[in-house]
Amino acid sequence: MQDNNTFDAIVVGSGITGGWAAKELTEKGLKTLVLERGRQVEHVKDYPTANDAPWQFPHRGRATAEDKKNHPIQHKVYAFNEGTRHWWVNDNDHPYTTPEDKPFAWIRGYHVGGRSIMWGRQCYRWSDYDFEANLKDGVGVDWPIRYKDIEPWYDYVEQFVGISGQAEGIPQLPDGKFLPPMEMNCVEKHVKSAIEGKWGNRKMTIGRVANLTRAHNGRTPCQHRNLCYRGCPYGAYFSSNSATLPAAAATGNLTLRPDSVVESILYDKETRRATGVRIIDGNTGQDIEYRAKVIFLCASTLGSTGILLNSTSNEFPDGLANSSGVLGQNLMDHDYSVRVSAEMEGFNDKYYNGARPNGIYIPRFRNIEDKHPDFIRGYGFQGGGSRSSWNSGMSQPGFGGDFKDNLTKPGPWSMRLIGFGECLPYSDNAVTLNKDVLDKHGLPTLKISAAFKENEKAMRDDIATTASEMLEAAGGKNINVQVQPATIGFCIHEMGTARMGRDPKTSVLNKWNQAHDVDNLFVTDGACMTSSACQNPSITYMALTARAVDYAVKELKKGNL
Amino acid sequence: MDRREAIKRTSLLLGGALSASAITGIMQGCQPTGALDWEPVFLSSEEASLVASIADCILPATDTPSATDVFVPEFIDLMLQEVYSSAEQNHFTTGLKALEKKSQEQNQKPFGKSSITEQTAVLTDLETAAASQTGSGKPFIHMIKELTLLGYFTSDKIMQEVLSYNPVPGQYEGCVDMEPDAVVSVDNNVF
Repeated sequence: MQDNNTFDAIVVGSGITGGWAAKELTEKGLKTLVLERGRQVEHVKDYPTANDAPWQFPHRGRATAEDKKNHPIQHKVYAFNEGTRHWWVNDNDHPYTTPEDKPFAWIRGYHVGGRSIMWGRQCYRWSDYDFEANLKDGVGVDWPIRYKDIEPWYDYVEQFVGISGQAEGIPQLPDGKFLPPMEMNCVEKHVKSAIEGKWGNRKMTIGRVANLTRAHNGRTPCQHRNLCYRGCPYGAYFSSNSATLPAAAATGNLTLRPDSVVESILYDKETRRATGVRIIDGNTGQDIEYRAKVIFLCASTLGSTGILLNSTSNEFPDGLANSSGVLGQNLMDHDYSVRVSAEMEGFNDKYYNGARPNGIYIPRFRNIEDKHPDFIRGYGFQGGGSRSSWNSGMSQPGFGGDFKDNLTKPGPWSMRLIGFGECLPYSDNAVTLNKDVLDKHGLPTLKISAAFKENEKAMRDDIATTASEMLEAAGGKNINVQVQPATIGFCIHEMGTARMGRDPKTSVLNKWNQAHDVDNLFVTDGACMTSSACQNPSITYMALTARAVDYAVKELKKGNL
Repeated sequence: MDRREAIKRTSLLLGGALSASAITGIMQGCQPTGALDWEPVFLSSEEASLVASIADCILPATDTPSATDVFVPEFIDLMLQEVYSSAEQNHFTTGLKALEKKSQEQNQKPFGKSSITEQTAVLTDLETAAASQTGSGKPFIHMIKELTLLGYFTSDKIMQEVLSYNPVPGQYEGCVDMEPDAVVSVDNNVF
């Protein structure tokens, strides 16, 4: 029976994976409803600060006391400022609880496009070093896929996204389908050459970034303003808003409904299928139900798991698709605690033109061929070189005319490296539903209990050691090591809690991101992740999403769903 | 409505527009020297005048504008009101008082009436003391220096006329030769 509330497919969430699910489903001919909990954000039209100069902000970019009151957690994010604050949730409207000794930073953007507007755009493939790791280490559960399963889907999504990068032939960091790479600056080239000259197994490459270095699929190339976080009027970086949602809309099969907070997924015990979702309209508070043959949960790691936990029934008293009992467990994030910088002498007559929205990348070299005595898995580095600007005067002594005039000249070079460490899956890093604290829609909130443990801490020491020795090998002086144990969640790569696995007793999803317990329910955002690797995960989520839609639609057509 | 706004609106009614520095020129012509020609939202008039003297000692006019030329004191006042916590606000005003007291003790005159050399000496002493300060909270001298630099170097006049402002570079060139007298490149990024 066809009515306005019945679709072929429902996608929950319009972020980086929801946008992909929408595009793939609609392009395969399915009438698709995308439910986004937050407000509409139209590409370009709704980027209010995209072209603003610093002097146009009353506080020249600084967060105000009011901002800190509204966003006590979000305002600490590196990308939060007067030009981007409208992308971050009001923490007071969207509370969660943690044990006192285990703070968690849950960083969110609730609007069409989600965090695909504010993401760092770094895209690195996983390899079998990552997919085999749990099996080899006897940690967590085995991934039900290997690189050969996802490789054609990395190809597929990368070719649509448009990723600038340099092929390097590094086994633990497979090459992608790249647009021309951005240039390294003079100091970065020097540091690269010093590192690679000294260590045969260490490489530095230019960041693999979802910014266009040439026109691509109707989107214009990056203008190197480095204002991505404000939304790009050129469409030069990949987001749901700039790329996947317009593609979905072009099919005529998309219905996008913002201000739609999904309360639960509806389950029919006779058919053992999901039948649809119940939402709370964000404006009217009204309950509305929508029906579909297949459901894609792409509401973000904790958003999706929260919905599943809240979808209880006699058959699933602990949450939909949770016969294993592991729903909510094995939450991970990357450890982002260690930054190392050094002064780089010379290169005084060298500079750069443009603000590159990208840095360098040193792929994981640790525990690839070697075996470190203190920890398993590994870490990568982002970073870059730069010349100091006028703001160096804030921490330099001096006053007066000469002081001022000197600040107008480019200052000395420095190089910095920031480590991204893998986090193991621990069953006691977990989220549960908290019915004592409700959000503004009257829905239960999450209790998040997670912390980095011994393996992650041991890795920090090595991150600091290897970063320091690499900068030293490049002639770096006054090497400064900052270890600020980051609150878990601040890397904004939170993943796990509805993991893929081979065994329905120890995992929620099978190798197709399909719920073991519910054939027509797919979860393809970060919740599905079985381990965390150290690479930025979004391109992996996108590849898994496209692959899962392909499978789901084939299954639908065969009559299996 | 403050005087600056009134002059702006009058000039628009008469069919013209005045630049900020022109308005300042008009207003300075109408005021006895040293009196404040704007209405602070946080600081008292005396504090605002002191902030102006400090800002101009940090960033005086050379062949490029001074801090007050580009309305840094107004900016500092607004930032204190809207960005800083009340603890930080108190810390700042306490620091202002301490600076004025030090100026009286050291030079037997208010900071605003001291010579450049005397003013610089006061600020330098504060900076030296701050370098060895323990305890939490940013020293006053660092707060005011940071605000002065921020207000100055992100002003439209300085960004567009003194620094090399390139908001839409187009291409990125990673490794280029730089002229010896080159100035820093800036864009629409905020610090």
